[in-house]
Amino acid sequence: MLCLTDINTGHNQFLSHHQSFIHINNKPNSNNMFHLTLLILLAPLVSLIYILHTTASRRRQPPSPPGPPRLPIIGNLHMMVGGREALPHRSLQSLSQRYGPIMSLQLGNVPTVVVSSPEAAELFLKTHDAVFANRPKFEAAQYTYGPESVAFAEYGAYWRGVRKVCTTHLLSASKVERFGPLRKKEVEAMVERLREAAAAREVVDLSERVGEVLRDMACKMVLGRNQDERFDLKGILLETMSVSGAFNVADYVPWFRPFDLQVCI
Amino acid sequence: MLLFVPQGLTKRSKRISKALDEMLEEMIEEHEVVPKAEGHLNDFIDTLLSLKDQPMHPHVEDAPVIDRRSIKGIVFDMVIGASETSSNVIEWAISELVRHPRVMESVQEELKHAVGMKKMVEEIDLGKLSYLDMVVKETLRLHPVVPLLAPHESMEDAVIEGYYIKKKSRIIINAWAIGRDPKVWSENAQVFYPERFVDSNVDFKGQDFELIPFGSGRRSCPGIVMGLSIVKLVIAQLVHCFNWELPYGVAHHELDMNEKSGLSMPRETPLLLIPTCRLLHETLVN
Repeated sequence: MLCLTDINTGHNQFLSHHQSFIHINNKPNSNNMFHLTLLILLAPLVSLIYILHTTASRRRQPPSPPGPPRLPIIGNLHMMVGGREALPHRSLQSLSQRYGPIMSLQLGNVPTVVVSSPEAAELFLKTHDAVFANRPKFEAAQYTYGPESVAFAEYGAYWRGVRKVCTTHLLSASKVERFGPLRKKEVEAMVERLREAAAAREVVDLSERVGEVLRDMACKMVLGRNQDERFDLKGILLETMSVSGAFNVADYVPWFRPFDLQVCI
Repeated sequence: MLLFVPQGLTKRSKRISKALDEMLEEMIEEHEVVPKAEGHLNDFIDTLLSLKDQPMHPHVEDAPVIDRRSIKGIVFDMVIGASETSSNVIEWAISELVRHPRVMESVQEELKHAVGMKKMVEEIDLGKLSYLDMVVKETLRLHPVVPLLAPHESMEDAVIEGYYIKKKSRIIINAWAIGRDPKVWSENAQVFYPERFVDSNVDFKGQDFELIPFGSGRRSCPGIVMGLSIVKLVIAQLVHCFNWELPYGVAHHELDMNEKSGLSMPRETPLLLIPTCRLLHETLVN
């Protein structure tokens, strides 16, 4: 189990670590003196190699977008989530306020760019959309229909094809209209059930009621039925959504895969 | 705090995928075998089966063909995409209306004029409800259902705004942060205020990058029209037919508005309310 807090404390840990390093070297003994000498001799050489390397790579490529310092292995993964107060979208918002609307993060071994302004979003989704039209592969999606789905298929002929099928044959305005009577019937049935609750002055779980109606509507429209005595239709859908929505560590740090871990916020 | 917990996620994924696949297989088979009754409304499986083994692009050679596996993939996307996301929007819209009685009153006033107190809302009425449109926009601004959208991935090295972005980088668009940015939405960005859209052309169809709950461009949500038709009807019907009160003496401004994360962004706690009928009793019985 690994518990990490936000970058402020990470920064402090780094400082205190650094201070203790100096402290140790302030107490000379023969062994430390040897290390110190070695350090003094090697330092210029290491710096020179570093400077040459970075200037060479700088000449080759522009800098990456700014971003927070990274930890070994997990990179900035710990900054994505910061407890109940900070779900990923909230944590990323506060980070972007510090590092800007185009920000680099390293999520495990996945280089990541976080976009947080309308102007930047336009660059990625419109101006250069062809470069960024692919989807990453997720572990959970590989077991379901990720590769065949419209939402997560790899960019290319297959994806273009299924998307076309959906927009022309399933989600077109005329198709939406065809299902009007179905929507009417389902919504009226919901109102009728709510009317009974109103008469009894009951407290209603509206989240549950609305979720139920929308699920019924979607199932009837897509599958032709919302109940099936052979299958636990609702259970299967809810579990699929729960698994797909979970934050899977193996998506970012592949050598965690055998441990089959999930991040809990 | 971040906890890595062994939850057997891969094991769960494999198990549920198998159950899902068996169920869809059975349902597709049934659609193939059982003859359709007169006046049967084709569901998505019927439509997809009628296109089976045909190329996806009619005019392109070597175009991929719609097979059983792609039918399952599409069907799966449509069920998930049509239910969870839309119900989250409705849940947040009603939450905001309950928290803001002034806005609730304005929506109900509009419904009273456009629909009248003697009948329920019909889809044909929805075009007359411009204030409701603004309420939906404002809800999507503050509560985009998929706050970080679905991630994109770069297919080649690129330089954007002078920054180098290497191939296979993951691109996360924080639509939630954009929707709440005071530089974009003025100082009252955190406030639920549908009137901000009164003299504005900003829409969520993907052309205005300050409001992109459905993404934009080639990977944007293809189900906007379908989703909105459901969302608007349900919201309108709920507030036209009922008044909504918070139970247990909770004041409207105290309503918990925390969200939880997952595939979409639902409320953390369920929305508990007491309905009372607004319309005449006999109207609803009919």
